Amino acid sequence: MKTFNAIGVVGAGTMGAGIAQLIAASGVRTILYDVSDDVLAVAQERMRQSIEKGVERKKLPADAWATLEAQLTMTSNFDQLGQASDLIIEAIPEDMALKCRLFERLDALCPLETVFASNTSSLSVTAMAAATKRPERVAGMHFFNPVAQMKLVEIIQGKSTSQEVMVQLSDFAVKLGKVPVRAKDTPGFIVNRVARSFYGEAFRLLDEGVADVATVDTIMRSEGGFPMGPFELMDLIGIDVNYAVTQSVYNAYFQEARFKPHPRQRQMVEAGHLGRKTGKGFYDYD
Amino acid sequence: MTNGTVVFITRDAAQIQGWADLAEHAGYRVHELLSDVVTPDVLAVLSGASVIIEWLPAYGNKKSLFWQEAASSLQADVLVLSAAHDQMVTTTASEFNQPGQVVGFSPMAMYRSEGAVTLARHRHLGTWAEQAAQNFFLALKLNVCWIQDTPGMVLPRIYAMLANEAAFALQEQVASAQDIDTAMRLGTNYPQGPLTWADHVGLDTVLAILDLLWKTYREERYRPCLLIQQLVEAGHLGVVTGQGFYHYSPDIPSPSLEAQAGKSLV
Repeated sequence: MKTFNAIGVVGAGTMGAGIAQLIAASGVRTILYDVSDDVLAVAQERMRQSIEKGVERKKLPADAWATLEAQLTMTSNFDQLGQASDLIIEAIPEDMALKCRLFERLDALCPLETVFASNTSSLSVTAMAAATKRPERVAGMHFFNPVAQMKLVEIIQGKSTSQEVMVQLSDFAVKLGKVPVRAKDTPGFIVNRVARSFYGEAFRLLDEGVADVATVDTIMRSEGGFPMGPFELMDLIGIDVNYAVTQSVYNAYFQEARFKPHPRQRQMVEAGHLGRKTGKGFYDYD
Repeated sequence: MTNGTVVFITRDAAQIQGWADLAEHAGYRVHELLSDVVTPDVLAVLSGASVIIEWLPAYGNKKSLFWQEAASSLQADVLVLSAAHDQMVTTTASEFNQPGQVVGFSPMAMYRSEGAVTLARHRHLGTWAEQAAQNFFLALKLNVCWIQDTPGMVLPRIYAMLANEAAFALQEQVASAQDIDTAMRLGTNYPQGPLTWADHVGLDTVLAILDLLWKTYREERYRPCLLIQQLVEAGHLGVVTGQGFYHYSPDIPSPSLEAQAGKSLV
């Protein structure tokens, strides 16, 4: 079976850069493309810092940066992605029109054998695949943030994605040291769907005056053994990010009651209390 | 010299072992009643208790029927801790002449001998009973989190809803049971996958929590997944029957929930 030896990554934001770093560091030829040279420069600097830290802590060999540099090409020239003939993973903003336009351009640029994967966490992989002439070779490859630490990759099977491509991508994830799970293309896939009640029920408990924010979190940690309770976890993820995912899943399921967002989420976003990143969320941070 | 007698009322001695050990360690005599049938002997045991910890299922109205027969034989100053994950403590306390002596508790962490226990207050709860419950768990060296009575309490309610959603995803063939659990452990760092949790707690218990939420709120949101209902009807209750979302062979012992919870996940 085909293995992936030349990989393209589109979008050098946090996720794209993290994915490119992971793949290049595993010794696979990688091209990281972004429209903006400035974004690429920031990504390169961030990679260098993370590698240096790893070497300092003796988690990475001393020549880790040299290995990465030898495998990784960073470019703002779109046509260079044509050299990434095996697999292209996109990690551009979560905007369906943008993604479809990208896949149309990649479809025109790359040989028909090239597999396309989207790192989307919430959009329809099936719709993206339909923008190409190779829908059976388009799938989701959903990495989690931070890419280096999170072991999970959701491999998403669109309506037309072939079983062969699912196996190839799963094998590739294993090669990268990740744990792949396979899911059909449905809103929220596994994690972002099943996790909704963790937050939704917590808001219901607040509504009823059952317990305050800190008590709910304490119970989930000390009675349940969860590393974090729902409110502190929302503060970490970003209340705006969590709210956007909730809305996306809710609407994609045609307003299924189990996924209903809570007015308090919207209010926190309106107030600009987004969690740790703004210093204020369900808790205060210095 | 003891602190008095703690009487456990439960279907399954294994379920209460953690707390029974802690109570003995704290100087209590421990008596286990492994039946929900009220006999003169049972009444005699209850009348000698200083603390009663009752974990009978709400399913089949077992809990209410037991207390309808037994409550009038209790001393007024006996603390009754009643499992309140599948029946609101308000409902249980209504079977007592002295509802103030009943405190709700969540039994979900009973298998662990550490961490915190969640206790539920209700409208009739007496101040002395609240203090007695606080002191009892202090003696067992367990922290206490107080909440107001609500269907499913906090952890059982959230976990049952996670299991319900995971069951919907499984039923819709979004992914395998194994992949759903793996995704939730590694993607969100949950201590165990929701389907594994449900198999360990018992699918009948999970369904009882969902049914209570459904019956209480009358909202679409709490509709129990068909798959869970059918597994329970078929007698596939999880680890206890050898079959639930997963198959459990007696030859290959499945990792205990505790072992999984303690495992480093990332």
